[in-house]
Amino acid sequence: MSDTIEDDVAGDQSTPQSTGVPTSPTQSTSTTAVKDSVIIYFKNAGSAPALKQKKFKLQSTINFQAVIDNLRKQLKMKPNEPLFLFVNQVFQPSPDECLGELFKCFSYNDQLVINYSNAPAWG
Amino acid sequence: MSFFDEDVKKSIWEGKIPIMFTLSPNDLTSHIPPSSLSFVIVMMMMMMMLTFANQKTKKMFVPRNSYFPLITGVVKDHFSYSTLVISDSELWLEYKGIPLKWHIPIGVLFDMLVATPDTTASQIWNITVHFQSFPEKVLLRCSNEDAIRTYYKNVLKEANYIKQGDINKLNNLSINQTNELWDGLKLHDYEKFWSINKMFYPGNGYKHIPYRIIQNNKAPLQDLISPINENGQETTLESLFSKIAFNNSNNSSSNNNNNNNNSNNNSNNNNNIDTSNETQQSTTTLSSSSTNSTTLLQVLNSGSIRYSIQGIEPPLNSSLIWLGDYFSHPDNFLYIVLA
Repeated sequence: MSDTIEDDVAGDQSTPQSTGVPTSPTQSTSTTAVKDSVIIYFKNAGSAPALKQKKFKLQSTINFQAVIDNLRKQLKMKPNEPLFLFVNQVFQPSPDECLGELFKCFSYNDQLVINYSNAPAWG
Repeated sequence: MSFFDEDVKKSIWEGKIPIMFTLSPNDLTSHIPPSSLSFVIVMMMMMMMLTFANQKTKKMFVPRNSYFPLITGVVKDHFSYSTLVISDSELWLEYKGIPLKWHIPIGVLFDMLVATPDTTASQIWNITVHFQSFPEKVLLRCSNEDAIRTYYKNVLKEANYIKQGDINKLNNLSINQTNELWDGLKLHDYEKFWSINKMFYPGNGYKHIPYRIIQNNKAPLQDLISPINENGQETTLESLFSKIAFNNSNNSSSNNNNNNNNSNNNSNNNNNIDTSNETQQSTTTLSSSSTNSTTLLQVLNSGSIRYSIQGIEPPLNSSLIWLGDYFSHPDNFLYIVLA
């Protein structure tokens, strides 16, 4: 759809890992403005299949369960197949956390990296 | 650390709430005897059960700094003779029609849903216990102790990631230390828990203070806030509140608005991951999308809402580092409740 973003960044250099997202230069200490939509970058791990399109623009008001549900739909997964989502290879958000709040705390270069795996890879 | 500070930390840990658990009448009367029994006997038994129901309550002092699944074992045992539908994963709690989220610390739930300016220490929180009709759309399942342990571990990681910028301190714990931390929380053992938890508190070494602002049973607001401001001074509560834009127009809306999302998603056959069509009503009153909205500080100053942390209202000039050290919940987040 028009809101999705092609994954056109070859060899994406902006992947934050252990460098610590909270140092993100995009964070402002003044009154925070929440965006209506945010960019999510899905990265597979283990034997989980990769997505053709990895970047998506999602509404910042949805909860994390909606992110999980939509990723499962993209991957055409059956309900009983396990799938674990991690923010920056660190933690699994609670399904009722708000995506926009996660983005404010853990995004880097204006995108939030979500790693997914069919095993609790960073459990 | 001064003696006074240690005392504060211990007092916070010892905070307890008197709760009266009552078995839902639905659950009590649900096991109606087989229909082959005569009508009179059925009626008599139902009347007996209803009488029984009035006595079926359990009073307890429950720690603020804990989670319901860690304390409801006793409640379940207490009711085990009154209902046939006992199952760990089916147990859920309700207060005034609101299903209680087990993954929110008990004290935060109380401050958010029950406490008022007139609340006295002896006020009893009346909670209804259910063993049927689990509200799937609203509550996460907590099937066993592992579920709560996994949840706790993840939220602890999230808080420490905000605090330190990495989770090395957590990852470096030995299995024994990890178990000690968990047992300390589960058994509400101050010495055990803090012998490990203190390692996550580096004093002035924070990058950011992990805080959550929560209101009306909705998803919490959180953001990065530096413990030291531009002038080199410790950031205060007042300065945090002045940075949060606040739209209070939605204040009186239903508590359960934000729980309707799942059904929308499941019924949507659109294969595109873009969820813009699944927009719900705004789920947070703590929206900061508008550029000209008022700040939380202004709203607090107007007196229309109040804030509380661990059930009390620390002064606005309190340092966030200090509050983070002594008023955080066991998951290392500082919960600020608006009510």
